[in-house]
Amino acid sequence: MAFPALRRLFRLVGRPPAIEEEIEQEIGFHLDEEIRALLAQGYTRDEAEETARRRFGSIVGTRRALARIDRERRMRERRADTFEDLMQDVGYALRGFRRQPGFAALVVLTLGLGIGANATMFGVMDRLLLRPPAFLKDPDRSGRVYIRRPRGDGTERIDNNISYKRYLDLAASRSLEASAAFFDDQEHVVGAGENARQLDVSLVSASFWPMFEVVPTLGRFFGEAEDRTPGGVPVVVLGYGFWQSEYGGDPSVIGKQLLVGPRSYTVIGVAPRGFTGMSARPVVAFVPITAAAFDEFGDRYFATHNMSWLEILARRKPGVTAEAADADLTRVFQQELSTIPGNRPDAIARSRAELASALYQRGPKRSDDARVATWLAGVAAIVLLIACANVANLLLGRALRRRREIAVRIALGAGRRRLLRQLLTESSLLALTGGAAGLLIAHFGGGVFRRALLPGVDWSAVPLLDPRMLLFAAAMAVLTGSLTGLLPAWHAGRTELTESLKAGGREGSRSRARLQSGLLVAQAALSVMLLVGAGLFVRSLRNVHSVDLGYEASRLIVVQPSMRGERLTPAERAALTRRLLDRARGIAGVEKATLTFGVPFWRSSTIDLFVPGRDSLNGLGAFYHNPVAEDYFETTGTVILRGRPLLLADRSGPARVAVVSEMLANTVWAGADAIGQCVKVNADTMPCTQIVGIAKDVRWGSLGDEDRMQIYEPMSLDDSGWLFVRTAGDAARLSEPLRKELQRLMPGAAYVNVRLVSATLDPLLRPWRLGATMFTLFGVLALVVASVGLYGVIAYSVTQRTHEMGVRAALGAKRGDLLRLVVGEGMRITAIGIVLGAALALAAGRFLAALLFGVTAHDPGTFVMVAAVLLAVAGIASVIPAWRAARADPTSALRAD
Amino acid sequence: MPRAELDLLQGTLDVLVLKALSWGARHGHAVATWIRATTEDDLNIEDGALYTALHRLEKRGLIEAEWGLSDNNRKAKYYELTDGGRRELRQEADRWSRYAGAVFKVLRATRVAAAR
Repeated sequence: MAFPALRRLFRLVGRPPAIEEEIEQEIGFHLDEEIRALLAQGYTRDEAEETARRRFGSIVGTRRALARIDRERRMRERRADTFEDLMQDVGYALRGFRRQPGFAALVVLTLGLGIGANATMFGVMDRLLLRPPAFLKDPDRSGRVYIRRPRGDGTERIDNNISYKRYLDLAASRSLEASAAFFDDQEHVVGAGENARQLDVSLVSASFWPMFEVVPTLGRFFGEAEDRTPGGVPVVVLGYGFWQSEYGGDPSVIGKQLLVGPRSYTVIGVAPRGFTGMSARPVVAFVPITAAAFDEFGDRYFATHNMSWLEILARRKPGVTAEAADADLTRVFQQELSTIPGNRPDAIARSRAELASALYQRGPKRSDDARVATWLAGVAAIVLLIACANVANLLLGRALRRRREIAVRIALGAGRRRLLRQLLTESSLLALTGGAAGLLIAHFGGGVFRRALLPGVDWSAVPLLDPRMLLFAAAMAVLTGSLTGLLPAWHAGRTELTESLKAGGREGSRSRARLQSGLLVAQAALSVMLLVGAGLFVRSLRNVHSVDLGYEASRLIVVQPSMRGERLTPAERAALTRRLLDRARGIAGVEKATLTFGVPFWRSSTIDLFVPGRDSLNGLGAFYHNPVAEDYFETTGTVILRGRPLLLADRSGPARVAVVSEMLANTVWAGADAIGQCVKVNADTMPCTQIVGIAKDVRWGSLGDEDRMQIYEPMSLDDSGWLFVRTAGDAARLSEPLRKELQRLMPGAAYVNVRLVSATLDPLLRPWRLGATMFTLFGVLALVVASVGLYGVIAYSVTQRTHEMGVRAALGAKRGDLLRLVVGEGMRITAIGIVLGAALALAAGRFLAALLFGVTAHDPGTFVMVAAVLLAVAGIASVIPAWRAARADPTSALRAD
Repeated sequence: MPRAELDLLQGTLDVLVLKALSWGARHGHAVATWIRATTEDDLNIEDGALYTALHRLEKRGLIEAEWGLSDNNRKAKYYELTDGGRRELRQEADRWSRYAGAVFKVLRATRVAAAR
């Protein structure tokens, strides 16, 4: 041991005689006895000494050998003692728990909930934010490319969706070692006939494969020759799971044909098990991005900047810093922007490109889901803190109740060190059991929980309890065990022996009261934080629900016809559309039907607008362009504020007409009447389009106030429009009959897909629903735990003060006075907790603000309500024991001790 | 000393020490005296080796040591067999008897055994 002082400290504990001394004594005794015996036999002194030594052999060597043997023996004995002590402590603790099973159960449950909540949240965070995509090479240097462009209102638009043309430009950056394009955000129709389904297909460039440490399980991946503009080669690499489920893992799958979208693709390989590229979901097939883009968009996709769809995965060169890579990407991006006419120099200067984390949820566009999940992980930690405080308080109360027993044991010679270890053993045992309970909770509750939390993520690949989770739970248990055990142990260690023996079971020391109150205040404060969070999220959710979208989402169904390669002439296509519309309109329960290009929060396109005599409208923001058919506004329920809606006659009419949203009208023609104005769509060489009506704003791309400039133009029937169907009642009940009815009209392999507009809104509401549910759940949990703690402490302090109460009652104090005395104590503690918690909540609110909707993080109503709830609960928790104390018979209370 | 001899000696010494203690607690000197007297000094065992054996047996839990007073009123370390030590002594004594018996038979053989 390095420190002599420390060594001395350890020696002090029942220090046994030194080994060397004992050996010296033993050998000395032997020699003396031997000499004595030899003298008795008639040897001279010298002869005797000489003979004794000779018979003994090497004294020094023996001494050393004996010392070594004895040291080993001692060590073994000490180890056995420690183990025995531990077993004794454990047995003692277990006997104690058996005597008070309620106490043990309460502690285990409290800790179990705390640890279980944390283990579950850890699992979610681990999947979402910690693990890089499987197989990715050099994850430190690889990432997604994002571009940032200034909006008209001074904010920034961050995009990870990039045009093919821009991908080629950015990929040329000197800072990059490799780059690939991918697109996995859309389902594609796979298979034919009965087997046709919409499945996850990834579109990837040939350069995608070398970005990963991956070899095909079967066949090969596609190369540059198969991924060339315009149309590539229709080859497909199957996902492992799909190969297993659809082909039974048959190796002869190579060379077979598979319908992906409209074209037949040749199977050339199978990706290894667990490989999903950049997607979190299982991927059915990988196809060359050029081939699928050609099928989807035709032969213009690679020549234009206006189609932002794919994403870029890139790896910077070794030795190039992240900043340098961003700078060079930005340089390339700005250079490219300057070649596009119409871009203002100041806007170009403020445009940037960057290489961020490969994990979408760690990049600049991470979803509110992820942000809420991060918050919930913090909330789970707070719940654990509250649970810890509560358990510490329970253990403290228990230690206090046993104060006399402890004092007696110290008086009987039990070492303090031993007592501390006893207390720590007790709390560690409880914590470990709590940890096991937590894992059980995480196991059974966690599955439901995370599917509800983040339904889009493929959880099947992630076991509910993996080694990291077990490790995490174990660490949590050890942490809580020492945290909850140390406080009472520290307190017990300071117990004054004589005082405790004298005091009897009655008097609580002042430090006890301070410590317990402190813990209660902390619990109350943390509860306030959680409940404020819950209140804010509940309000946000209510606000989101009451947002006026500008259309009646609950009554709208989208019908998406898919041609699946059935070649129709424009006339045939128009006839089909007309038939679909007519049939839809004829179904009972359908009020109206129309055609639309855009669908809220799903499909939209922006467009350039020009107004004669005006310089540029570019700085004003994005203009959403939606070609629609007649009856559109009646179908969606969007109100025409002035002018007229688009009519059937407009479709083929000679004059170009359009309806614009109120915001567009007010932004472009501020102070003037928009109706009758001329606007040029797409290019300023186009003929005038006349504004004939102004529609109420709709929330199309976000629930907030941005992105509300829309222009509606008449749509011709041979455009590939989708149907909007308005139902009389609940749309959900009509969607399947509608699909069946319309499917009959589709030729050959073509089919229709139906989808509720409310279903596209659902993921948007999820962050708030998630926040509201989980914060409320955790908040109520915290409140229950905290109030049980308060009740326990008040009840304990009341029983400790029975004597005092008796005296007060005997001296004439009224029942009400006693009641007020006890309840006052609980309320005071709670009030301090509320003030502290409110301050903390205000401070933390700054970070929460971005996640709220229509309510500030400092919403006074929420704070007042939480304070009221907490005071009410604290009142109840302290009135019950107070009432019991006040009713106690003063004479019996005085006689008791 | 060649290793084979030492091993033999060590095992033998252990049995002798255990046997010496089989009549009750004794200190090291008494053990040495008893062995020397019983073997009539034929084995020539160093006392240091004897003590090493005693401590080793203590470490193995075969004997227990306690400080006590000798006949002439001096502090001495007394050794006593544990239950395990008694068991060990029985086993080792048995093994030794058979071993010695077998060796003895060989050495006393007067004619070559018939092949097959």
